[in-house]
Amino acid sequence: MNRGPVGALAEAPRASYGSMGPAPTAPGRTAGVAAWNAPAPPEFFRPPGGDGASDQFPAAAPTVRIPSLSRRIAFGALRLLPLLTLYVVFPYLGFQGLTQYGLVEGLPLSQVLFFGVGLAILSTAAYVARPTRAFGPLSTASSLAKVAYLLYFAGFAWAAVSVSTATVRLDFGTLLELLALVPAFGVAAGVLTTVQDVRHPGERLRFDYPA
Amino acid sequence: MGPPPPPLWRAARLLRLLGYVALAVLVAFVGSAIYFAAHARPSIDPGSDSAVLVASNSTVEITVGLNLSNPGAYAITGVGISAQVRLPDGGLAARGGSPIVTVAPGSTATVPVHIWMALNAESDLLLTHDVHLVESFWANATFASLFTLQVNDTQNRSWGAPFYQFNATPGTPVPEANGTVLVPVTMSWQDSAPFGETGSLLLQVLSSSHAVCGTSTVPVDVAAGGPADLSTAFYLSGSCDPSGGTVVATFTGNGLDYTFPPEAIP
Repeated sequence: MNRGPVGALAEAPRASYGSMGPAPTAPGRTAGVAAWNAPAPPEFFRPPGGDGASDQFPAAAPTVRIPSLSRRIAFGALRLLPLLTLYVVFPYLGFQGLTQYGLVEGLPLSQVLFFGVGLAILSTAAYVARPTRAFGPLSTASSLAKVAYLLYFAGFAWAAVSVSTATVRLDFGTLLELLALVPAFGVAAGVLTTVQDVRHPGERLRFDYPA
Repeated sequence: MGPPPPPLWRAARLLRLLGYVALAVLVAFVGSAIYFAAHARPSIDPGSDSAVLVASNSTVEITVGLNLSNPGAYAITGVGISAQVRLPDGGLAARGGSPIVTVAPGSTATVPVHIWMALNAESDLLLTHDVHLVESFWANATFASLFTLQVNDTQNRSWGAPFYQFNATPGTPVPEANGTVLVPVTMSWQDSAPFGETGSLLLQVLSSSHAVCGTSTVPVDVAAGGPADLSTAFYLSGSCDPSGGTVVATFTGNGLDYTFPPEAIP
């Protein structure tokens, strides 16, 4: 049976896509790598060229290597640390340092920290859910949250310092608005991933997690 | 060799890569903008500081040139200054500012600041009294369209009045043998202003019924910071009794027309 080109992988069973079942990988090659899905359909392992190619590409040859949920959680937790450093620790230390030099900030520190924790958690959730169909919406939400975070705080983005009788104030809202372009690309990418997962479930896994 | 990645996956990956590229470009842009902004230097144009008495409206125009050098690669836009000068009681004595100026990359531009001070504001206080004024200014500049710097400062400035301690003192009217009445008047003041006074002082002797008994015009030429001591005398006809009347002095010259408060004749 010729199942067609790679795009035919879209025919992989949708019902199992979102689950965290056994990995569609060959035993041995993925020792220590846990599963994400129900046993993969033969198409998942099929190399290009149709059924006849199975002679040249042993069926045991894996095409994806998906880390287990526990491993993803572990790595996600490790990844959370630099994210928390970026979104929480740096802003906090920055605020403290600026205050020491007599600078007054327009940014509300408590909100920055609160939303920073939210961004870090959302980003980690998207990372953990990457092999699932929740990845698209989560990465879209994570990027959207970053865009909203930057645009919201752009309105408060100023710092002021008094020197003798003068007051010097620096507005950097435009900088944050420009920075919002960066996660905007992520929003578009997340939408595309969501569309891809809806139209061709599991198709991206062999490229996201190549063996 | 595996199958080619599907278009959606490639597009999503390309978008994520573009995000990183945009971040790198932004970081480089912001870093260079900060570097160049730190090298921008404002300075006062040494030849432009002046105070000029403007014609016809009794207003002093103060002009200051602010030089702003921009050695960087990005323009400094929206450079503008506004200023206010207030009297000790908070009343507005002067206001002014500059046009909005753009300093092109690698160039120096002069921001002309003009402040107009109405000398007849607040009951002519600035004409006859040396006072401490409160000067405030606000300056804006935007670097590389990214950062807007706002500076405001408030300082006390001393103001020297052009007719400080002005006195027009009428002497006691002296009846003359020919039936006229002699009224001597002496005038003195200190020109504490940063500009000289050239013009004339018109003196009018008014009777108690406000009839003009006589007039006299005295030329005035006082250097900035110098004293003025002038005197004149009126011979009034016997039909006009100055006793109980007033002397009114009006200065006209270098753009300033000002009538001083009347001085009573004893």
